[in-house]
Amino acid sequence: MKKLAIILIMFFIVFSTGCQAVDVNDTSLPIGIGLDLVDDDQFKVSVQLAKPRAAEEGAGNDDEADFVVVSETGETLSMASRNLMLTQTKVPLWTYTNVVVLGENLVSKDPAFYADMLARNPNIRNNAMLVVSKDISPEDLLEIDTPLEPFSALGITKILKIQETSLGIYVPVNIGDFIQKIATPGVDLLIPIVTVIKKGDKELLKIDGAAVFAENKMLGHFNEKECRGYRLLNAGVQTGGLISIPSPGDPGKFIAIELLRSKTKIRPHIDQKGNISMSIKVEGEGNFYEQQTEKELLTLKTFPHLEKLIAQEIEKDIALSIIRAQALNSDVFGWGQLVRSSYPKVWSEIEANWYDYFPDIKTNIEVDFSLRRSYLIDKTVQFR
Amino acid sequence: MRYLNKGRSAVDKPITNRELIAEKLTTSLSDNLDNLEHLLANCSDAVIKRFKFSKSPVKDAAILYFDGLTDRNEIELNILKPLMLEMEMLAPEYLTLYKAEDIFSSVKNSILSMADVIEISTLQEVSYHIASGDTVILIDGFDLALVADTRSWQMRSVETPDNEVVVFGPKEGFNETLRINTALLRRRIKSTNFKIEAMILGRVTKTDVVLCYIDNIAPEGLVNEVRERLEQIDIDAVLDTSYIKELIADNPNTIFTQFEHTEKPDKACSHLLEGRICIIVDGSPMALIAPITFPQFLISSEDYYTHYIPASLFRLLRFGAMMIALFLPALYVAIITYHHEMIPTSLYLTIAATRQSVPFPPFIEALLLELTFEMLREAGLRLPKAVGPAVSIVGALIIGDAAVRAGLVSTPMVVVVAFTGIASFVTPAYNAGIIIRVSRFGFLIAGALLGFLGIVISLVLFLTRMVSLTSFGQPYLAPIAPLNMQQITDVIVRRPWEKSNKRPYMDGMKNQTRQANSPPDNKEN
Repeated sequence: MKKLAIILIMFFIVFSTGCQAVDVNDTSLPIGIGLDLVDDDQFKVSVQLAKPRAAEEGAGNDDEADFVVVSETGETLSMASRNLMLTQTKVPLWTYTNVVVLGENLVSKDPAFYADMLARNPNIRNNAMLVVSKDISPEDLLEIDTPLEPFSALGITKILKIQETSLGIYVPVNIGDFIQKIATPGVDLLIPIVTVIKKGDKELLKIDGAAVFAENKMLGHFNEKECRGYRLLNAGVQTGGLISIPSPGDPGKFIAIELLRSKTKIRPHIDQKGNISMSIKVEGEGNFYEQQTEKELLTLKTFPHLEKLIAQEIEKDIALSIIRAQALNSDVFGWGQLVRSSYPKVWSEIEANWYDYFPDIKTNIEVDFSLRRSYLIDKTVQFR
Repeated sequence: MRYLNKGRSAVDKPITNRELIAEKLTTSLSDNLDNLEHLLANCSDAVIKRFKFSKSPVKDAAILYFDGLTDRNEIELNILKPLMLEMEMLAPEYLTLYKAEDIFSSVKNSILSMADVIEISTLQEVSYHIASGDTVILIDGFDLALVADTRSWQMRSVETPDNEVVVFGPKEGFNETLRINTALLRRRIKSTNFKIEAMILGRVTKTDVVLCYIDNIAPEGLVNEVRERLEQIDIDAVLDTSYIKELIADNPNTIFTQFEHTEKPDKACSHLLEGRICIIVDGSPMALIAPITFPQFLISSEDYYTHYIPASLFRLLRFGAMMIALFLPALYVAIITYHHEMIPTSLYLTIAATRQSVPFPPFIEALLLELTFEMLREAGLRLPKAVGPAVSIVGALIIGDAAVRAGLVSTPMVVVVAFTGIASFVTPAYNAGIIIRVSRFGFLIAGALLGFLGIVISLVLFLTRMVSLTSFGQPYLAPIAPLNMQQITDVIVRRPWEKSNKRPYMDGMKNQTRQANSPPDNKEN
């Protein structure tokens, strides 16, 4: 009897779990989702759904897109996404969402409209990338094809990842980072912007600048140079990137330097008068990648000079982004947090009006750059 | 009425065979032969030859044997010829010698030029010995009989075992003759400590069974226990070692077999040298080894004939293959029914595309394919060799291709089942393969019912069952559970010989030292 009771209890425990069987045939994969605000009170959810296609038939017909984009509106984002079920035959598996595109309208409004949904929803993964769409609605953006990549939403995440190592401009932001930053005082958000460009009759997606948030609303943009400065200012080690500096003595000509890694240390200082300053130390390493002159640039004499030039260029990028951030009064670098950890007492006093202090912070930038290699040739190619 | 009368009239019922066989031999040769002829009625292969020998006085005698089991040449040369011819040609001094003794013992001791002659006294023994291929000599005037070992019959030669193929190492295999098998073992262990205890099992078959062990290694308790359990067996026939296996197992009602079969004498020897016992049955080429623990099923004897680094890698590979063979279909079904988020996007799309036209849920699909695979395998085992390729063609073409084209099963499922099939062949022990094949279906059902939760629950049950088992007192999962660090290094990887100073530990083992350079505290002999 006792045995039977135990077996029954186990049986009920086992069958009361939340596992729900869904056949693969009844599911669809939302590769990317777009969130937007239309008519100021309606939320629009657009979903890029992947079309399953067998390997045999797959590659052949390029004309047909590999995905469909469907949209629906509702009073809340969740409502809008559930409204999709009125037209769709398959259950979307939201965990496959790779990228969340936020509309310009939405991010300029109350962050509570979408932040809670992104944080609370158990189905969307925290490592899904976040981007902001500019000059185009998320719905239209998701419709645009990326060359050689079947799903453009997946393409966006790939672009973000690959540019980081080969070009080193933008810092990708995922939902986890977003939620952490939006809920932390003394840090503001900087989310890469995706826009559309026209090449002939073809439309391409491009990452173009980054949206700067102040008080958790989008306020302005960083351009490429400022984004590069922002990336170098990110504490810790950054790897990869390419920068160009003017060739010494040859106006209009440039040298390309490949950034191997850079290490940034930022220390806040507060003097007796209460002035806040930041000492920024950047240690960089890189390779000589390209030059546009016939001159021997890599000699013992020119070498330190060259390194100094590169350091100046890096310093300039950093300074540019700091100036821009201070002009927009958006603490994207998280300096408030640095002050909090170094001077907790001072921080508790100034936390409320941190943005009164932020624009006046003085910075002291020191860049130490060392060139390491010059790849296949150490002398210049002489044209004869 | 007629029948009734007939029944009544049979008052002096003829003595039954059962009563007769318990009788002792009498001093009268003709009585003995009458009884034996009665016992051997309708045994067309029985030969009873009467003859006379020794002129002064002339003695009546007879030999009995079963034709086909004996070497007729040997009977003629070593029994009949000495008795009927050579005895008369003996020098007078010898003649007086044998006349001084009674004729029976002089025949036994001086006349028969056989290596192995024993005396017996009952009809039971006579019938046993002639059925075993010996020749029984009856002499008038004695209630004893002489048994000469003339066993010789057609048998398979020592061949390479079909089921345990090795690349390196000895290729000899046991055959169906017990003596050959024990000789194969004795040839490898040239020690008087290597004991081969004989016993007869099977009321009808009277099968010879031997229990082999190495006296100064095997735990005494183990040997006694096995002997006791063997002696308790009371069955009419023992046609194969498997009969014994079921009768002496600690837990017979489980698929987890607690014995290892082998056809390879070298493998049997390696087990004997690790203190295990080995049971060989006449008529079966399979030696039974006990006690065996589950991790040992993953060890191939070839591991010890290969360099230890590749051998260790192969062993890890085998371990991985066992995991695949156990869990892959269950995991696949669980993932595509419950845990979609576990699959990478592109893989998911591929699976979704191939499954679009499949009418069955993944579980049914997996079950159908798995069952088909098992059927093909079973069919392939028993098929005549000429038909075998036909089945594999049907299997490969119909299951592999046509079913996919018809949209009945999806390609990934075929891949999963095929992969599982290959992985299940990796296990070196065939009977361990059966454990895996059967358990796989359990895991599959659990995975289809409850996803990963189900697999984990069934895994817990699976392990609990294994842990609860013993093989002659040895825990079934040793040395993993209970954990023994010294031994586990020789289970997961193959330990180099240089580092294997000790034999794997077993309760009551008499001598654990394997190499002389082992730590001093273990130097026993």
